[in-house]
Amino acid sequence: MMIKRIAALALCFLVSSAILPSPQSEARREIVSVPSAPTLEAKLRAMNLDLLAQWEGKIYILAGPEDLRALALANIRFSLETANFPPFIRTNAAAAKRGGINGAYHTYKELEADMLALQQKYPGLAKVFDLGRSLEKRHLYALKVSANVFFEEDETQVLLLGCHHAREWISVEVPFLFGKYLLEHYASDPRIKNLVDQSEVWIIPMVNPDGLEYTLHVYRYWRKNRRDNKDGSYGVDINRNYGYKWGLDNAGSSPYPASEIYRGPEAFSEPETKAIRDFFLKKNFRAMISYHSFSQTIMYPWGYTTQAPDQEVLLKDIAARMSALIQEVNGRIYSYGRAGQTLYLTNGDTIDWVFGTSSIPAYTIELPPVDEMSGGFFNSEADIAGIFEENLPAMLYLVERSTQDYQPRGTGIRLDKLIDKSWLIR
Amino acid sequence: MAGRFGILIVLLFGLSCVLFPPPAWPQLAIGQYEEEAPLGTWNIFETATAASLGRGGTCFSLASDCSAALTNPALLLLLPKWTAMVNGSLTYASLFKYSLVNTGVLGSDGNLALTLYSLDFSGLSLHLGKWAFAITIGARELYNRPPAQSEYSYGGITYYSIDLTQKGMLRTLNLSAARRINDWLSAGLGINLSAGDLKREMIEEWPTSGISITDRKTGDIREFYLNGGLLANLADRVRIAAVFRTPSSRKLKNSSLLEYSAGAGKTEIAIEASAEDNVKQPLILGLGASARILPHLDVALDISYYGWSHYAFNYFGEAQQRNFRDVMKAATGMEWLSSFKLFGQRIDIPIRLGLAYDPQPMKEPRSSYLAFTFGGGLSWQNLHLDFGVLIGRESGSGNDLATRKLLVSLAFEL
Repeated sequence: MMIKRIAALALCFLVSSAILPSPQSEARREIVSVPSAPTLEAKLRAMNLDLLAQWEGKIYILAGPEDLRALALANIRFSLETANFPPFIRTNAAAAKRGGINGAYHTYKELEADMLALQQKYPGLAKVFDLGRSLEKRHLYALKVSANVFFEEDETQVLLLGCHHAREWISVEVPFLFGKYLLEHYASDPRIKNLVDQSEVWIIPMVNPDGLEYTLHVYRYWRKNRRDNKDGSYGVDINRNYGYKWGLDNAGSSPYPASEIYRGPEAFSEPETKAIRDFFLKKNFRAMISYHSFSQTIMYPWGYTTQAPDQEVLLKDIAARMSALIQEVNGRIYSYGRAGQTLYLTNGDTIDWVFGTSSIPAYTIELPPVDEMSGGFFNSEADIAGIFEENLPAMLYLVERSTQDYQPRGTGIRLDKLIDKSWLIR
Repeated sequence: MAGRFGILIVLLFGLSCVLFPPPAWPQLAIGQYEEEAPLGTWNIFETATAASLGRGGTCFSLASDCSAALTNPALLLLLPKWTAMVNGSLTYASLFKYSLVNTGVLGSDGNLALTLYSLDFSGLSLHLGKWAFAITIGARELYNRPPAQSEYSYGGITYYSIDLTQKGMLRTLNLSAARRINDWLSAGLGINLSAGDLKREMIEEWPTSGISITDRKTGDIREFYLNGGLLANLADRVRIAAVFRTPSSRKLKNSSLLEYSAGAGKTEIAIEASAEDNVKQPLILGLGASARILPHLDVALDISYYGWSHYAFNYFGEAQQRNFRDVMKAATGMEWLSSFKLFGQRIDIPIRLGLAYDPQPMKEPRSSYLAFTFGGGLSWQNLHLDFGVLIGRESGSGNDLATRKLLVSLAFEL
């Protein structure tokens, strides 16, 4: 027993020492395990993988994204073990001292600065728009990524949203990093260039900035916006305030202001949802993802009922493909299905309104972790890059798919309507 | 014609309010008790001692003890050769909105109260001819908040609990010197070094599933500023004074640790941050006057200006919205000195009364305290024992906040 304990400690030490982030290596590395077998070990060595140790019938491997891809291609089943080595998380937490109050995650002002920095660095490809103000008068920013960004070209438009719910910090990072990725790889990656040339990707990473700021300064698990309900309670659940089947029943949302799923006094009562609605209706989007956390689930309409939507085959097919693409990255499984069946009933949420009014593929993606025991609404800072990377192929797929069957409307090229409305951030 | 012009102006003003909305301002106007707010009032020139508190807090032109060094060091020239004193305080304040209390997470039916005791001032002064010197140390600001707890238990099992605590204090070391310039004018200057800390901790737990969230925020505070004053004797019975405290940049070393623990430690997530921030503290100016209107009766009036519109609070590198305005605080008081003899020894008994109007700097909600004060004491030979009481009531926020203070000081002079 004692020997086992010593061996376990030695393994933890070995692993945590091995995965200390080196200054040169920015890519997220995972610890994975495969069943121990002599033939498999030889195969792994032939693949030039970084084998850490063999212990209790498993071979432990330190693997970067390329290694994980190679394992998947070689049809070698592996299990993620990173979370079983706490020193890894603690070590990375220290690196967060470079950041603001929430470490490597964005505050409202950090996001504003980073979005404007992208606009400045990629002037022909990125433009930041102010879609309106939150209750506390913070800007609701959208980042448009497209070639000839000042113009509304006759090309497909895709919308990515984050942070409807204040405590879901990771949902800010994933769509923002996607915009950043497109811009950083435009010049070097023909696939990205082609995608950006043929589409308009609109990213609104922080739909609920007031709530997010409250999570930073007062209470980490705050969910709603910061509406003073005048009864001692605060907040409307923005993701129950959209106008499709709003307030249909009290199961999918609540009429009680103190509830976490309070739908507000009427549909679109909140400036945040009004801004998204007005913006959406001015555009011609062909696909949409609203990011949330947690549970590793891809959901499509309907949320207000367990019944299937008209285009379920299409919606399910896309969800299945996105799930498979995510799994190919690192083996992490995102389940998928109708929102109302997969998690719980919701009425007045984003995807129902988007699908109900425009019939385009609309998804809620609940990002990791999978459950409360794995972190709930917390993800370590070290996980941000990995979660983005695993979602990247799915995001690229959705945008590419939207470009592939796009039928030009014959509208030609014109100055973007939003620029005409003087919503441009100069 | 003038009436039409007036209407036009009003309409234009209304239109400008619509077209140019005010800057970001929370739905939640937290009011007086922002996280960094001192307990009781924002307008703290310096630590008060019992004698001045009993007179409504008037201290610009009347000196009772060496705490004068903190507000108008020129008053040190009115003290005997040596003085030494200690001061203890019992502070009570009621709060309604602060941190996660009554801001959406934890609710209370009424105000929450906090009572604190501290030995909050001690000092020495020396008067040598035209010069006077003092060294004092005092607790200038307290940051404590009423602890807040909530728990859900059923059948003897606790399913959920949340616990909030906040504590902190800022102490100031003051070194002062004063000089008599001529028969009617004196001047004094003090240098002040402040140090303190502020700690806040929130622990949220779901014991049955082994999940806990801990949010710890700590800040070390450092500050340097000058204070000074002039004192003019206009006549035998009348004195006027002008005082100042320089604006300053309060330095903060903040750190934050947010931890999530689940599954008996299997999942441990820590998000740490640290920052060097600053708080731009305002200029304070004051004018005071006192007069001996009867052989044993002094009256005093202090008016002080706090330039809160220049206040700026940076927290983890980001400017926080405070929306403050400049305020004028007013205090008036009187001191009646009666004496009697006990076993052949003369005993002086001062009796003090005062009023203070103390508007808080927030633009919204407008809020001010009106305080009634009284105090008294016993002086026998070189010993002085004083007490002062302040009873203040707030209006404007709708929460009917209260502040009370009891100070007791013991002074010795030669």
